[in-house]
Amino acid sequence: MYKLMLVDSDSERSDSLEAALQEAGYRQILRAVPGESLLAAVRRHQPEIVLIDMQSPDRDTLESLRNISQAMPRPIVFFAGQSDAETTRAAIQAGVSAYIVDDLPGKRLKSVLEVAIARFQDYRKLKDELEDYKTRLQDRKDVDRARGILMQHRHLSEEEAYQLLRKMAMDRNMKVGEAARNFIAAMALLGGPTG
Amino acid sequence: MKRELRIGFLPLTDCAVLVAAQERGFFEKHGLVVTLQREVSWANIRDRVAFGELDAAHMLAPMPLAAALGIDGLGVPMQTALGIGLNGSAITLATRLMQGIREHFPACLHSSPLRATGLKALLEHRLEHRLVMACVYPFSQHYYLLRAWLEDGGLVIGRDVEIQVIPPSRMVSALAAGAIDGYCAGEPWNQAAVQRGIGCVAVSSYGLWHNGPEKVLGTTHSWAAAHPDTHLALLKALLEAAHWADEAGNRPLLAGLLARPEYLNVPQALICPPLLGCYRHAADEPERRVPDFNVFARYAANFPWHSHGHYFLAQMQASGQLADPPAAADTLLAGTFRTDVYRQAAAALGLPYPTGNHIPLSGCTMPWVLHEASQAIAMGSNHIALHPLRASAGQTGPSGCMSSG
Repeated sequence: MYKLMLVDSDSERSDSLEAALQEAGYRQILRAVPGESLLAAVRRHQPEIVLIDMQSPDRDTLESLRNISQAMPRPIVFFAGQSDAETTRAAIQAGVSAYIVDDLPGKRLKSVLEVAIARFQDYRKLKDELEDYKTRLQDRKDVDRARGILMQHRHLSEEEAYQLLRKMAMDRNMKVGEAARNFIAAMALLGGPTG
Repeated sequence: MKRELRIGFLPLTDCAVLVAAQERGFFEKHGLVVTLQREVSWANIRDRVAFGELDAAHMLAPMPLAAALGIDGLGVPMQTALGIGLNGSAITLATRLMQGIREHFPACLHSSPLRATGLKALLEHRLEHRLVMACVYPFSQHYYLLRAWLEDGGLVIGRDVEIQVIPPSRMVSALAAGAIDGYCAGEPWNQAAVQRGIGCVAVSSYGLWHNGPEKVLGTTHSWAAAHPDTHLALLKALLEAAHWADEAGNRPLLAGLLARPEYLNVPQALICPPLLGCYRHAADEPERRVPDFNVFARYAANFPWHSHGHYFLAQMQASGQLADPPAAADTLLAGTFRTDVYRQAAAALGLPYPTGNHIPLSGCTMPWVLHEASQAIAMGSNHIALHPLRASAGQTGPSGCMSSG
């Protein structure tokens, strides 16, 4: 069975990927943190497959093992030569990249990559959802604040204040939350009440 | 015509032409809506361009050729029709090493450009042991310059010194942590080490090779073939931006744009002096005048010379990256360094362009004029200081300024 190394500064994502790979039958899974100790870790453990987060600048370091260092006994190569273009494209879109030893069968890598791609995609989806939720929460807060200022200053009802904000947003081709934030910022600039 | 483009860059001073095109409206002028996408590694740039997530990108000058040769690990052929910067990098050593040379072998400092002989002397007298130096990517002028500089000083790569690859943004922390003894990288990463006092510049890339190749705009062959009009519009926008960025009067403004969080995200004061030709080698030294430290347009800087391609082929072989010389080098270079496309863009703007594909890579230590051009072009010195570099550059045929291929 092949020795795998995961290089990812996001430990939650690593946990989830490691669990999925174990489920797929991979037992030897090492974790390495991106950064200065990575090269030493690769040299010490000599993994046959390295999966790395594309947000890590260490990719260039990993690639150099093949091109520069004679000290690396097991050359690792970029996977595309042994993988199909669709898998490669999906990996790049998901933000994960892989390096393998020269003699590893392409089929084996493909299965590992498919697991990694799925995990990275799930994770991104979760993150996007969280981001979306946070934005919506913030929007609601800002709209409430802006509406409060309008009600107080223009002596408007709750509904009238909201309609005014909505109109302002539509006129400027913005979301209501964004318009509310602009309005609050402008009030602060004028030294008025900011809710 | 494709109008919406994504272009990748690494946060380095020499992404300047792309930033100038975006912020000074040159993309817009040529009908393009561009998103500049910051990347963290050259490998990401290669992969995202190869698989179409980026339309084009800031690349190290040898990268498209390595891709066209299929030795970059991916093998999706790429090309360039535009240089976007000459010079602009340097070799930095840990302050400890420079102090050792100052203390024990001061005579070694009486040469400029500084040779690596002082470093060699430190090793010979057992004041230092095996050194670790870093560069930013295997297919880079940094790697070739660093190798030539070390070899010229008598150091044997592998025995006396190991060369590692470390991302530019991490060089300074690696040097501070003692993980490496020095590196070759672009700005602002040398000046950052000098400012902190942890590193001293031994030699700038300009010192080793006056007006040598550095960065290009790269695309895949398939992208360039599918979008010829877009490619031309992109080249025109970038050529105009390059001329804007080359004006000394625009450089302080350029430094301010580059300093922004979405680009380099470092203080403007770190970026600006080298752009104005003021280059500091050590925290306790006065600045040195290097007016051509960054060249973005003058001296035909944007032309994709086939001579540079021949030089890179020689370096790839000398460093073991390429086993055999390619069978049809001229055909390969014509497809990779698109002088034809460049000429189209320059002619459309009324800018002078070289009519030949080759240029002597050394031999002129003074400004000269290129007459093999649509209009005569003022050129800078092309002096190459080191023998190992001249040897690789010399394989290109014409060797003096009197003849040009």
